[in-house]
Amino acid sequence: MAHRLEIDGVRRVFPGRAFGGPSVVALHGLSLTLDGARPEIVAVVGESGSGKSTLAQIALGLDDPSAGTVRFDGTSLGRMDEGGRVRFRRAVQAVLQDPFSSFNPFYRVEHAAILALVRFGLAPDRRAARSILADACEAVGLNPADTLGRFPHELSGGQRQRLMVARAMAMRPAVLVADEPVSMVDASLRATILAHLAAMRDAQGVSIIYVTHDLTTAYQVADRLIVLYRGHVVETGTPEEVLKAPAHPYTRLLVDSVPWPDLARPWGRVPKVADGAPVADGCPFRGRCPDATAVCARMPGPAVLSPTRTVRCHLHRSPPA
Amino acid sequence: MIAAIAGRFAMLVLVVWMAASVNFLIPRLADRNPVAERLAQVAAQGGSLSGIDEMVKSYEARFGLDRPLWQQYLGYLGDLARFDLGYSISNYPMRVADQIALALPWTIGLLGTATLVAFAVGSILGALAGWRRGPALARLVLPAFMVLSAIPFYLVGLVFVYVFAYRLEWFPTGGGYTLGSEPTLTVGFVLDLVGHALLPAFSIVIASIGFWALAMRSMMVTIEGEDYVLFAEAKGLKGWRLFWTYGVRNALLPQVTTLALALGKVVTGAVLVEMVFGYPGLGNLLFESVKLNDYFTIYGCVIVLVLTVAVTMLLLDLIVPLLDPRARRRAS
Amino acid sequence: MTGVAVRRGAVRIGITGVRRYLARNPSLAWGLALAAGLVLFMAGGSLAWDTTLAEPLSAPVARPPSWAHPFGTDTQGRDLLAVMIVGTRLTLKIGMIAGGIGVLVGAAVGFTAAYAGGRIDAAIRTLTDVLLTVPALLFLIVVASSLKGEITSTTMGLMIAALSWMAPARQIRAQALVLRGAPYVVMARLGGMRGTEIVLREMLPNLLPFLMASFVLALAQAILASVGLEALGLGAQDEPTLGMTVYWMMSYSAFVRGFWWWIAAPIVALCLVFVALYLVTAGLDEIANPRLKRRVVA
Repeated sequence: MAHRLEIDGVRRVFPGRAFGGPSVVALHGLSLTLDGARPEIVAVVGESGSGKSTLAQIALGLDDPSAGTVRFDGTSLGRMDEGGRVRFRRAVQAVLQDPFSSFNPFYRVEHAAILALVRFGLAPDRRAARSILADACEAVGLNPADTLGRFPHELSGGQRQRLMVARAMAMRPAVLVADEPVSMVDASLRATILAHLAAMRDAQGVSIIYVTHDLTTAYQVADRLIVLYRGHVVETGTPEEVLKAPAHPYTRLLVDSVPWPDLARPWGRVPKVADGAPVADGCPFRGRCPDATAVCARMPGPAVLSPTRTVRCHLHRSPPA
Repeated sequence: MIAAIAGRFAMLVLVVWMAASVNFLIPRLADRNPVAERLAQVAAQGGSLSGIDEMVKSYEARFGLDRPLWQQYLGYLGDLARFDLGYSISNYPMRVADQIALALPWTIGLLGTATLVAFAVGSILGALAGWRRGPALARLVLPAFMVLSAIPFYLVGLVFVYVFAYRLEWFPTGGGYTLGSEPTLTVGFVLDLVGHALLPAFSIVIASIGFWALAMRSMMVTIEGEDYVLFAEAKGLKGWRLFWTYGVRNALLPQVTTLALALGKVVTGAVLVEMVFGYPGLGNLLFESVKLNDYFTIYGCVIVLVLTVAVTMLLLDLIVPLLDPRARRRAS
Repeated sequence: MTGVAVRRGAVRIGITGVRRYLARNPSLAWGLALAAGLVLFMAGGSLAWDTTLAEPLSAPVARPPSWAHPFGTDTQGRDLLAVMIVGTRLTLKIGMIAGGIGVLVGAAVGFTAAYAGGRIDAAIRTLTDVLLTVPALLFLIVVASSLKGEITSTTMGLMIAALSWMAPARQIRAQALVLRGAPYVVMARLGGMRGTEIVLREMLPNLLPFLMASFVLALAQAILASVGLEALGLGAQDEPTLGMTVYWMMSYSAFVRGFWWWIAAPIVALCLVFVALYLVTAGLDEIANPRLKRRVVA
């Protein structure tokens, strides 16, 4: 059965410190639907502080939205019964950023995965779980004999991260949240790991939320792109659309900052405005935006540029229907 | 900032209130009548205590033992707010507050001086031991002082009393000044005061140098690795100037924070030192009161000591950000 | 065959590894050696020496050290060697009760605060901070003077335990907060684990060195408090703990009468106990807080 994860108008506010510190809005109403019937990789791109990791936490059910809902197969996470929660837990898995601390240093590397496989009924016993995990290891190019049964510190970062992917595969999730899965891995291994993620989408029908600050890898694997800036979705679209013709000034800045391997392509043409003062409301980028005008004091609604493409900037308006 | 200060004050009030409540509740849980005990004790010795009836009356009026507990409690807190700690049982009709007022200057004088000396000596020793180019001697004696810092002050004091006062007779065996001498502001009396304070102060200093030195050393080691020290060196600064203005100056302020944290330990340690030397401060008053079951004086001493510790901690907490820009930034 | 050989090899590596580690951590090595010496003294002493001599009136009065009484005797007619054997044991017993309960309760409170968060956390934090501001000894003086005459070494341990949980609770809360966000704990949650199970199965094993250090520190603090109380005369009146020996020695004017052996015995024993615990704490700290390790090496 195809599962469906709906993130609907989610807002997350972190309250300030006890005595009147300012509260921080990490997400301003974000919606995103992943439909198991059409598995896809959605890249969420943004700099640190954009709210992308908060989104990952909320999608995983590790953090609760301040407003809005997350629904799994139509039921809000907050209203789920015990059985529903276990089904959700099983179906939404993660690959985290740091391969070094993703394993409990006290146990052998397979500890957590085997426990989870048995607990979720994916394997009748530990032995079966181990063989499932071993198969998954082979799928990501790890020799199970060299990997399983070792302690985390005996493996390299790349081996550990591939093992995390293997664990994710073994769990057969409906949705995988990959939170910066390759940012701490050697460049030579990045493509391999991303290819394994793409293979999960194609072979297992897993929908993937790929959280990254790196436009180039997003371009390689994603079917859809969401650009976040200080908690706002400033632009969405297919990677082709967004990267070839970035619509939002922030996206333009991002694309322009990528050192493309094409030497003929000039780099750093977009005028940069040094970090402006953080702005209380309106378009959050206007302090750094070369095109900022008085209208930016109000955040415009999304302009729909094509069936797949939206942007929130006063420079763009939805074409008349 | 103001909110932070308000928070600290609220903390102080909470601390004192809790100490007061313990003082109120525990004796009632133990279900003792200290005055009756004292009477029995006096009767057993065949003596009679002048004004005993008066005392019993004032005791009962004070606690209003027929009133409900919460009324007694509120009354007690009210008295405390006015620093009315009741009467001493063993020295009736002396008031506890007066006894404490007599003892407190001794404690503050001894403890203040000893702590300042230990702080200065320990910090310098630790700084020298932590500085790569410091003298080897500093690194050599540091472990000895660290081990000494594990030993409570009063045990060191016991050894000192025996060796220097009873055996060698270099120092008086106890007290704050020679009995019978007239407390006047003469050179002779001041020398007498210092002579009596030296041994107790020395036992506190010896046993706490290591504590300061250790904290200072690790701070210095950290600072020596900082880029700004490397930069100052590259600029051509060297030797003592680098040590004092770049090393010690930056390492010293966190020491004040350490003092705030260690205060309780220092105060309780000093209380026991006074007991060993019969030094006429709060600690000795406490010890004597314990011996004589003088409960009101015990509770009074405890509440005053708690108040002293809490207020000093508050002051240090408020002063550090004024001196240290790093802490100022953290606080805001 | 080979299995046994391999295992033996592993044991040998383990032993040399420990030895090599101790060489790098001399304070732990010295501390453990001292502690082992004390245990040996207690255990060996209980076997080889007649500890009933620690009772009053069981030996001649106020004798300096001799073959019959190697540590001398006090004015109550106790053999001081026997008193030291029994006293060290009693003093450690008080510390163990207080330190053990302190760390267990502290761990429970600390984990609860870290996991519950919000108001519960704020309440627990305020309570521990308030209680930590007041030197434990002062509270204990109030309690002990109200119970004077009814105190045994066990109740002394329990009394101190009531004030020994705050420091561990605070430290463990801080550690648990760090670990709660650790990616491997997140992975455990994604694997279907819940609160208590995560604490026991994922966090606790990694906190063992830390808990150990916490325990030894709490033990040292508890002994410090108990000896302080006893020296004030607020201890078990008929049990020869080390602190009570100090109290009796002071009350019966050992100084004026020049009974140096009576002064020396409890002071030396207490110094050894405190130094051993200090060194072990410092050594364990180096294991539990690697940040400190770097500082020392740098």
